[in-house]
Amino acid sequence: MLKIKLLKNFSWPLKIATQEIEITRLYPEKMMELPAAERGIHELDATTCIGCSSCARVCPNNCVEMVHYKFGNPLKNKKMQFPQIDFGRCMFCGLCVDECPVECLKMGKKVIMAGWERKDIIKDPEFLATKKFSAKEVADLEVEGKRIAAEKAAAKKAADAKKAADAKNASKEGAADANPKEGGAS
Amino acid sequence: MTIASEVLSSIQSAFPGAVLDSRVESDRRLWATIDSNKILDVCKHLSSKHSFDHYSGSAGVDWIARKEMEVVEIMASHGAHQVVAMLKIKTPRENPSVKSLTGLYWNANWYEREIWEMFGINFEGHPEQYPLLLSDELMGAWPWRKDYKGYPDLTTGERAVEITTPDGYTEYRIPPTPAEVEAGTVVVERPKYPSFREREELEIKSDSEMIMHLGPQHAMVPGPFLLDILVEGERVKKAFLDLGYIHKGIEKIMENRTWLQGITYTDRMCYVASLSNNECYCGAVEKILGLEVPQRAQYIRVILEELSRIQSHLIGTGEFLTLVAGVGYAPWQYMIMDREKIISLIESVTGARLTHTFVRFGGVRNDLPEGFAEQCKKVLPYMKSRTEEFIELFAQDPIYSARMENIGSITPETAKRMGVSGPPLRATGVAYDMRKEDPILLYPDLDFKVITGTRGDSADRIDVRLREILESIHIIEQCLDRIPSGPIKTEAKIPKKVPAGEAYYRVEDPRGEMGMYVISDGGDKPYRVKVRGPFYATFQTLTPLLEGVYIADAVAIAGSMDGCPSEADR
Ligand code: SF4
Ligand code: SF4
Repeated sequence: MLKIKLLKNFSWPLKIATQEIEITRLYPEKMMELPAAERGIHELDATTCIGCSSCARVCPNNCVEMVHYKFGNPLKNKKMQFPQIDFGRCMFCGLCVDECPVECLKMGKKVIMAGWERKDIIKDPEFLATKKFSAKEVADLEVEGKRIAAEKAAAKKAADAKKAADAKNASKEGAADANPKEGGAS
Repeated sequence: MTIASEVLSSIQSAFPGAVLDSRVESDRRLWATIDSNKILDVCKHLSSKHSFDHYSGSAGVDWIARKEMEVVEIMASHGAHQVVAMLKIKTPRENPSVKSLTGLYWNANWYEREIWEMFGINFEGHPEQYPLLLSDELMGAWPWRKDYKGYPDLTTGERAVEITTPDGYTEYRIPPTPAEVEAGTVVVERPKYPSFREREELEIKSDSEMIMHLGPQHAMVPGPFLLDILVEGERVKKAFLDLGYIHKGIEKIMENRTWLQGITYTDRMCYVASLSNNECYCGAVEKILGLEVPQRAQYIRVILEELSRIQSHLIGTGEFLTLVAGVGYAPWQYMIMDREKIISLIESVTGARLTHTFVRFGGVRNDLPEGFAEQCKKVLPYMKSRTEEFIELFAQDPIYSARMENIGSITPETAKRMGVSGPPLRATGVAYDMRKEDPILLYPDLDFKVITGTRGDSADRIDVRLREILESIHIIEQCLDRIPSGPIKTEAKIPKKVPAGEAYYRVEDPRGEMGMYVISDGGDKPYRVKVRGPFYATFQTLTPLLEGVYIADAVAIAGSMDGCPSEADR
């Protein structure tokens, strides 16, 4: 009885040996396939980021810092502040991604980020950006921005004048307070 | 079946005036403030008359504004009823002291030691009030009190003091520095007690006895903890345990993070069971907020938590086999190979392999990807056949049974008294499972059995784990068949500030009963989060279990508990 049992034990390795199971992965040569939901290195769409720093505020490890970056959208992001991430501290929790109001921050399938020094793994918007403008586009957008601002200013002036004409007793300071807000929101 | 209001009225009629304040939250939760002089009598009454035989833990809370401290005793029953009584005892902040429950409940020992070292609440009648988690230098600082300035000093931003040593190295010290202490500019209160080594050496009675160290660095231990055994020949006479090598102070960190950020920290208590930890914390907060979780999200949570249970049991069994076989990593590799499939399934949903940060208040982060059900239908039958193979393999192996049967057996009575939970408890034959006892999500609608063993020995514990894998597969199959479409997050807006309130929420972690006691004072951060981890309770039973066994079995017994010191240390 005991012998039969012992013999039977040997059948397991044989069974396993005939099954096709991926055991060794040829890692650096062949990367394993990652799912679409993978939470790897962040991807920033600099053309839509509005620089609200929600991502910096929600990060539990304080690893997002807002820094100046040239190739973003000056229309949406007036101060040109974009997230820079310290991957030495980042734990890939994805809270920053969930919090982004315009969904311009995503996490991709890139996972290799090693560097020789600590500062090498602090990645600036240039590294993170998957979509950005060229210098010329930024310049164009800036011109566009100035044009819009000028138009706004003209419209505001007209509105002010109209208001002043409409209601002479209306306080001028109040009107001046209310108007820039409208301009900022658009 | 006893319900919470009956328990309350029974206490009130037996001890008039003992209940200072009470709240019956539901049939299963009772909150009561008990007169601190009568707590022992009330507990005696509860355990004798209402079969509250499960002392589940206790929590300390520092109410600095009210100038008092609270100890909350969490009491439940092993299946006689489903009431969890949260009994609060108040004590002034100056010289806080309460009566110890160690005389009534053996396992109160560690919980009270933890409260003592963290809050400085003295427990009258505690047999061994020695530090457990903290190092000796931090004793007397009472780090979990609300006025603890700590490191770095949160009020002044002051960090550790930089000191250059004579040989040119830079050292960092938390103030007070030794120089300051010597100069007497700071008063450091250090209670006098023998150190761990001294206590150990006191036990050596003859020349034939010696102390052997298994850990904190040892091939056996799944994480750093100190297990010293006093041996005479091949026999273990006494065992000593010390924790705190990876104490992270997660409960305190969570007090300093927003509610949402807290989820990421629950992951890191035990990465093998991070989904149940997420669930436990989010469930407690949902309870305070009164949030309803949409059906689809509930299904996703259950599917993922069961998948996570499968992978945890696989890794636990693999680790155990490596320990007892001592021949290398063959069994471990088989388990890891299979676990990889489960991990890939979880990763395809959550995007992470171990620390998922997946459950959200009132929902989950991601929906199931396309083709997930098909993938599951491929993997699960394979898992099932493999697990059946494993079970058969162990059952028929004469060497394995000779080595494991009746090793480290616990009787049901002892197990209940020691407060173990999860597979080690169920192996003794006590069908105690949070999924049945304190059902959450859609567990009441699902069909599954609570797996129990008969002997309560090491072999049984492994067997229970493996058979639980089959049960989990059964649960996931049901969920996949029934999962409805719909939203994965509640439509209600989740406020940044959680209204004042408290909740105790329990889930069945792969290792046993995991509970979180969450208090909100209406702010954007938790006021207190107490984690009642399953392995902390199981760990405590190791010392008595190891007494009288062979040295070789010590490893087998410790391994069969499926330990996670990281979670015990939190
Ligand atoms: S993934 Fe988490 S840790 Fe990393 S930057 Fe985003 S919020 Fe911070
Ligand atoms: S990435 Fe998103 S959250 Fe962060 S600053 Fe830009 S818009 Fe705001």
